[in-house]
Order: sequence, then C-alpha cells, then structure tokens
Amino acid sequence: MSNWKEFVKGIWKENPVLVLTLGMCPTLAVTSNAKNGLGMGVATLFVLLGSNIVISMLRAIVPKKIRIPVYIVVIASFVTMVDMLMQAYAPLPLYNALGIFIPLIVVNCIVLGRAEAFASKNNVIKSVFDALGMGLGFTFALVALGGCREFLASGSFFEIKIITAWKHDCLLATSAAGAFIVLGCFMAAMNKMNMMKAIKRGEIYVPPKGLDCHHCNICGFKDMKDNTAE
Amino acid sequence: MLKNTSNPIILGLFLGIIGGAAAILLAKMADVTREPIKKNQQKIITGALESVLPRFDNTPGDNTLEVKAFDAPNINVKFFGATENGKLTGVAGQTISLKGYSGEIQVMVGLDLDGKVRTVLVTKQNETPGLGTVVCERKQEVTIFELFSSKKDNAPKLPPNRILDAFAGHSASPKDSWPQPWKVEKDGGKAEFMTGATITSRAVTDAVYRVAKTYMQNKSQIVAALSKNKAENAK
Repeated sequence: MSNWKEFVKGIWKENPVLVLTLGMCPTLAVTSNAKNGLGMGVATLFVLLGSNIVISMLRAIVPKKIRIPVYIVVIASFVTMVDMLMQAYAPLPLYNALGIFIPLIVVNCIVLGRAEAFASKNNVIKSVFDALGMGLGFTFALVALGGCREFLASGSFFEIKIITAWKHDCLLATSAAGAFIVLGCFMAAMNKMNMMKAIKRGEIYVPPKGLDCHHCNICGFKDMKDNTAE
Repeated sequence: MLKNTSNPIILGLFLGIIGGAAAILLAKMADVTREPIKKNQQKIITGALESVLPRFDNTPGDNTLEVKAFDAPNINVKFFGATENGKLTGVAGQTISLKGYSGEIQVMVGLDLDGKVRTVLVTKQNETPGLGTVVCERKQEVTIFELFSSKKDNAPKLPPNRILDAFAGHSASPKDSWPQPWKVEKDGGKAEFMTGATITSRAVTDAVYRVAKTYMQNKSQIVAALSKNKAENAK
C-alpha cells in the first residue's frame, strides 16, 4: 500500500514540475508541442528509473563524502545510454527534436533530486515506484504543457489540426515567454484546485511552503523544516 | 564503516571503481549501437536524396564530389550523383548558408543535368519555430476531419512548400528568366519570400543559388567525376 502512495504522489501531490518546480530547463525548452513533451518525459522516466534503482542498490556502501559525484556518474551513464539507444532505434524526427535536450537530463535536477532525497534512503522497490511516479508526473506535466501551447499556437494537438480554420501560428505560445505564461497558469490552477479540495474537507489550505527544500537535504535544511512545521 | 569514511585513498578508489564500471558498460553499449546509428545516419542522407533525385540504382551517398562554392572560399558544395544503368541521371548539391536567423541553414538541392532545380529540401535549420521554420519545412498538415475520413493515403510523398517549390525549373544559366544573383522579391529579385521571415527566405535563396551557380561553373568537372565514380564502384 505504501508503494502505491509513493507512486501516486509524483503524479499529483508532489508533481515534479508543477509543485516541486524541478527541471525547469527541459520543461520550458522542449514543450513547444505535445510530441516533444512526451518524448522528453519518457526519456527522463527511463533515466530516472535506472538511476533510482542503481543508487538505491548502492546506498549502503556509497561514502557520504563523495555521494554526489557517484550519483552524477550513474546518471550520466544512463543518459549516455539513452542517447545512444535513441540515436539507434528511435524514429528520426523524435531524435532530431530531442537530440540537444537529452544531454541536459544529466543536470536535470529531478533525477539528482530524487537520487538524493529518495533513492539514497529507501529500498529498491520503493525507489522503483518513486521513479515511475515522478517520471509519469513529469511526462504528464510536459504533455499537458506542450499540448496546451501547441493548441494555443496553431489549434492543433499532437500535430493534428483540430481547428481547421486556424491559418497563422500564434508565436507567443511557442516562444519561451509563452512557456512561462502557460506554466504559471497551470500552477495557479493546480493551487486553486488543491485549495478547493482542502476547503471541501473542512481544512485550512496551507500552500506548500518550502516544499522543494524539504525533499532535498543536501544543505542540511531538514532541521529547519522540522522547526517550521511546528 | 565505508559510509562514513573520510580516508581520501578509499574515497578515490571507490570513485575510480564506479567510474570504471560505468566506462566498461558504456563502451559495451557504444559497441552494440554503433552499427544501427551509422545505418540511421546514412538513412537520413539517403532519405533526403531519394526525395530530390530522380530514380537511381546506385548509392548516391557514396558517389560524391566536393567543390568549393563560387562565392565563398570556406564553404563547400557537396554533390551527389544519381545513376541508373551506369548513366548519370541527376545531381544533388548540399551546402549551407550562414545568413540564417539563428545558425546555419543546410539545404539539399536536386538538379537535373542542365542545372535546373528539381526539388529543394532544407535538411538542417535552427530558425524560429512557427516563423522561420515555415519557410524551411515541408510538413503535411493533418486535420481532425482527415483523420476520420479514409482519404489520407493520397497525400503527396513530399508535401508542398510555396517558397521552396518556387525554385523548381530555374537554373543559374544566363538564359534563365530569373536575374542573377537570385534574390527574394523584397530585394528586387524573383524568389518567393514570407513576410516576417525575410531573413530565412534570403538565406534559403542564398544557399540554393550557391548550389545552382557552383554546378553551372563546374558542370563538366562534376559530371565527369560523378560518372567516373560510378564506373569505379562497378569494378
């Protein structure tokens, strides 16, 4: 049951893009259409799964002082593997679109963040569920963002024209500025929904204060979190 | 024990082992994927060549000649020769333009033996999505109605593009109706352009003209070399 909880939390409650605001670089750069978002999401999901498994297996023996370099080596290896596999077997247009972003997964803080905050403290099975949930949450957010921007730009979804009368692309939605605007609207909508849910349950909604810090204790922020919770 | 150690030798050794294991794994992986990647890269070139050249039975990707561009000493035009039954039937030229809006634009131009442009294809570009890319892309738009109706098979193999198709039938010979050098209409030439993407239109025109003119100037040399290559390949 707790495995299920780890899986579900990444999709909505702790969605890496919309709540944790991790990995903004690929989020904003790739999501000019839904297809690119899907490709980037799946590639990240695979890297996340691989790195979470390996790091969770190594967690007992990795010396604390060099854990970050070790994680980076593991992540970089998986990214390189995904890059080579995609170059060899993925459809060409997809690789052309994602080619320059795949190396960026190395420094995508979702992968390192989950390695540090979760996989290094939990067993392999839990880490697998965490990676799947986080990866799916990331993919879901990217596809939603990409689909929304694609529709706003040209009235199409997954390169299928839905509003046929739409002749000229709206450039704001495909540009980086449009990415920020749409992402902001998404986050606002998500907060509103969470707020309404809390009110329905009769609770007072508290915005997730410093949520990204409490998932990562690289700087030893954990104690402070415990203080603020009181 | 190992987890809390601060002995630099152990730490270094551990990092070395992890790095070594990763290196071995990646080397193995590179070995496995080397052939498919090579094949894929060849497929990109062959795919582009297939759409710009007439029917051929050789491998134009191996039948090539690089010629210096007529106007820029450090840009080369790579010519591919298509032959059928040992006779040269068409030539494709690949070159770049540095006048693009962001980065270089690479084009593949199919020519017939007189130097007339058959088809133009942009093979590499980094233009603004939705603006410069409209000039460069040949994209078949699928509408929601076509998705559910049955008539989606009769889509042309190479989707049309107003700007790229305008070059068809023109050559860099003095007899051609287009004044040389080719320019977009906005600059007093004949080539099509798109409002809002004039720079990209200019760059594409520049690259296509470079191929056409370079072919015209080195015609006999290119034809001889590409026909000879074929004979050598046959041996």
